Amino acid sequence: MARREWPLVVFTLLGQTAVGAFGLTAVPLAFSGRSAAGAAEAGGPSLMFVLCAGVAALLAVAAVISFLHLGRPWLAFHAADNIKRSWLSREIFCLIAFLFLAAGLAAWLWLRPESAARPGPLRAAVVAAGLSGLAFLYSMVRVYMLETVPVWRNIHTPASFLVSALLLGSLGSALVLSGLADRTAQGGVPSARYQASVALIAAAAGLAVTIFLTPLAGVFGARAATLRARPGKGIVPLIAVRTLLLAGVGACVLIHGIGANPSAPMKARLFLWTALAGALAAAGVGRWLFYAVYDRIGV
Amino acid sequence: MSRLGFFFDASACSGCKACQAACKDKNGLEVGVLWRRVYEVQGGAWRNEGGLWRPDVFAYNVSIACNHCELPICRNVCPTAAIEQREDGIVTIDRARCIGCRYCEWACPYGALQFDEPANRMTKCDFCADEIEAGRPPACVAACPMRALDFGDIEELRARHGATAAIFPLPAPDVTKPALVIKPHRDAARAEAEGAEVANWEEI
Ligand code: SF4
Ligand code: SF4
Repeated sequence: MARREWPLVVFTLLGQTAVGAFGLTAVPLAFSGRSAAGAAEAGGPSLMFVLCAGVAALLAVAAVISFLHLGRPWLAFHAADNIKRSWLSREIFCLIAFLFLAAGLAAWLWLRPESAARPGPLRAAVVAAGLSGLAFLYSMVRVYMLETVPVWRNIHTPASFLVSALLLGSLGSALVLSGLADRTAQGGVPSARYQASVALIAAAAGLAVTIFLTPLAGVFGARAATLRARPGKGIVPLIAVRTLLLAGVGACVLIHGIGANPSAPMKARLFLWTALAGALAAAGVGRWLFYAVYDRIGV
Repeated sequence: MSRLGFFFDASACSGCKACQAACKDKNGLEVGVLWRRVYEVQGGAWRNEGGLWRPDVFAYNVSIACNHCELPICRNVCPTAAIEQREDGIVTIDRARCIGCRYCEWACPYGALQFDEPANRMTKCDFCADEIEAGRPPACVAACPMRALDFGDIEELRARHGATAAIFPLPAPDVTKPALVIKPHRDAARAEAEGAEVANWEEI
């Protein structure tokens, strides 16, 4: 089944990256005081603009890819029709809200860069977008916590989704920061070291989640509800691959820090790209496993 | 209004699959799409009795369609509200709304949701609502040569046959409250205890 679900693998990872990047970087940036530094006079786009536009783009791509998972995508406008009962409807609704708020913020900052100097409205808008992002992540978790699917209805689902959001979000926004520090109106704000710490903690948490909580095979992972779900022989090697990848990501971040050495920005960026590639591969393997272990009660 | 339900007598079912075939025929179902499925349960082993090996095996069948549940988890999860429940309990899918996300298929613990690949949308048993309205039984019930299937007002079925609504390998009925009454096979408890096999996953 996992093979069929590749659009969902990509959709969830892009969505989580967007939530992580926005929550970890745009929100602190809005409250750092430094975001008010005028972008206009520096002649470049503000960091906040780049973040909002990037997050909106990620979400738009995620939305388009999710269409590939539908049998009849041309009816997708019905997807938020059951908000009253369905977490999937709520997820789509929150995705649209987050996308529109992030894109709206980006457009606002593009058209009126001087408005970034008025922290009040900017903060309100950023907080609203951040909350919709959180609601998106929460409903994404709830979509999978189906009463009839015990391998998903356990702590592994929220833990692994949160780890992906933190890891991919911190590394992704660290790359944007390091890549644009010299070209945008504000330097490396928030600090690269902060991104590195978050990434390191997330990689360590990811290791623990993988080893202890992976359904069917992790030490304390959920057990199969039916005889049908025999942990495929492929699970253990995939867990090993994911563990190695996450350890590699942690090592990359730890050895070099993220852009911690301003004298060698190229080298820092190389480490960062390597870490992000490793994190994406680890997250992809993890999500693949997630769909592969699907097993519901009954028949 | 009374709510409709199915009755299935596991002690009478011979596993001939006439119900499954009649359903496919009546509804013109695609290859691989089975609104009613017959699960073949098998278990047991050779047993050594004082040096003598004796076969000690059992087998029975479970014929299941959609149970038009009182708590239809399929309806609750469907993002497009394509799944609805009529007053008589029949759970239907609105073809014009289904986007083919297959989320309901993940959720239903009876395997009742069946994806129609060529049409790219979800399908399921509609209790032969047209037959019911014409005063006739559903195709599966009419076809069963063993009279192992019946239908009717779920409360009347319960009054007549008891309230059992599960048998191995079906889930506990409290999850979706199926409109289903089952007369168990004598080996059902053993199948549950010994973790019997469903022998025909390939065909259902
Ligand atoms: S058996 Fe499955 S498809 Fe039918 S009503 Fe119950 S949950 Fe829905
Ligand atoms: S496949 Fe169709 S009926 Fe099932 S949840 Fe998706 S939209 Fe609803």
